[in-house]
Amino acid sequence: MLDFLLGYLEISVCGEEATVLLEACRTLGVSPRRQRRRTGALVLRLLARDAARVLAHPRVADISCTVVARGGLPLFLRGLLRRPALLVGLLLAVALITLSALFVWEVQVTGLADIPEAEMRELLAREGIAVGRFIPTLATDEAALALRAADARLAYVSVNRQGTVLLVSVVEAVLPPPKAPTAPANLVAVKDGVVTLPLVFEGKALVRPGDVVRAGDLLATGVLDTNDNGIRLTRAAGSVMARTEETFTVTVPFSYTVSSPTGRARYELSLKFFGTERKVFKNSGNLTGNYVIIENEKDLRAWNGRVLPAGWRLVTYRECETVTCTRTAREALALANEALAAKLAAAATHKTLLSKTVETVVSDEGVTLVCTALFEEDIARVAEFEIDR
Amino acid sequence: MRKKRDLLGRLAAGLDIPREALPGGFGLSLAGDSTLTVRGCKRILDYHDDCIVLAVGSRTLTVQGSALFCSAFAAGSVTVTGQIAALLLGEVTDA
Repeated sequence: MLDFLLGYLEISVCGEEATVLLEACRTLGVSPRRQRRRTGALVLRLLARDAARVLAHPRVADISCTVVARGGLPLFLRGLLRRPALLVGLLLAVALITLSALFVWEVQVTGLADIPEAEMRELLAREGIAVGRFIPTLATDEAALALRAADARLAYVSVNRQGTVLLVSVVEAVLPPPKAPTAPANLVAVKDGVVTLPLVFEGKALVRPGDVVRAGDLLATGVLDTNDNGIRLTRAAGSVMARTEETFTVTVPFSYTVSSPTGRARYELSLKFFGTERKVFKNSGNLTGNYVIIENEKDLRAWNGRVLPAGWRLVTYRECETVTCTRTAREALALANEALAAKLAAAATHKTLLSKTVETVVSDEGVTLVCTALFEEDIARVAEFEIDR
Repeated sequence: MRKKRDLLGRLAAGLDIPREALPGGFGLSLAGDSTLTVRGCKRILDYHDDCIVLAVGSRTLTVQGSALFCSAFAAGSVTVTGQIAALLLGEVTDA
């Protein structure tokens, strides 16, 4: 360690002349830091300041000794001074590290339950809490108050600073459940169908099983005649099950186009630093044609996994060409059946599929499946009405 | 010269002080077989891997062994390290 801090020289001396060099060391009271023998020569490591004294000794001047190595911090610093650009870079790095302590490196948000983190970060950014914020001008208490006032979903927000990291603790407000609507309403049919089972538990049912209804027809009314006391208004509720019919059409053409990558790619590279982003390389120009865009974003991380306020974003534009392909009638039919099954499954989420008839039409362009499906579903929807009092 | 040495020897014995504390005296400390500290070394006469000859007082001290190094010099003392096999005291011979 001392060798490195004060600098050292390694002096090689041959055979009998080693005695002279060692005697000079003894005379001057200079102890070698390290010694080794190498192919008949003795190599002494001396501190740079001691080596200068030893080499200036009159008896050492008469012998042939060579300096075989130099090293240490003073030599490194002298070398550094000869390369001003390196020194400037080093100073800039030190300045950057020092100044970076004045900016927010990371914002950690905890306590979120229903509010999405991206939305919360947007709220925070609106109040100036974001990566790259100048710390001396940041008033955490005021920012927390402003956040609480800005969004009713936030019951409590605290913003604490630990070094260059802002810790935002959030407690979400428990909002009361929405009030049930009380306005008078009827039940009307949303589509055509044949009523199978009216289940009206509020209001008066106007349909019976077997009745044919059209979209918009009244299924249950909220206006009740009480005979003696005039009419009473209520909010009709319930469900009216009915058989409904729906037609699905799926067409799969024999010829289709696919995008095939050509292997050519263009790039855009941006560097991110304390919340700002700058493009440093771009060869994409004005793109025309068919391109697949791939975005790759990378944040630098410290050894402990903490995200650093620096990183890069690489956008790759992969050129694609459109290729026309053909498929056989059997393949087209299989694909059409798959697509139809998917459509029926999606449609039958809230209703029951009773039966279906499928008609296959093959033309020069492709295969078309026309499916008529019979469902049983609730066709009643609440329709509020206003009254003039 | 011999008279002087004898006189200093007798003086040391009479005062009950180590001989090396007086001019021309020397002392040796051997730690195991690897470190020899020689106090009162006047000069290094010969320096080899297997043999180091030192001038001590009016005599020579030959250290024999292998991988021998003079590792430290301070205030007239020399530390010899290595695998020490033998120590020989001899008379100074003018070359």
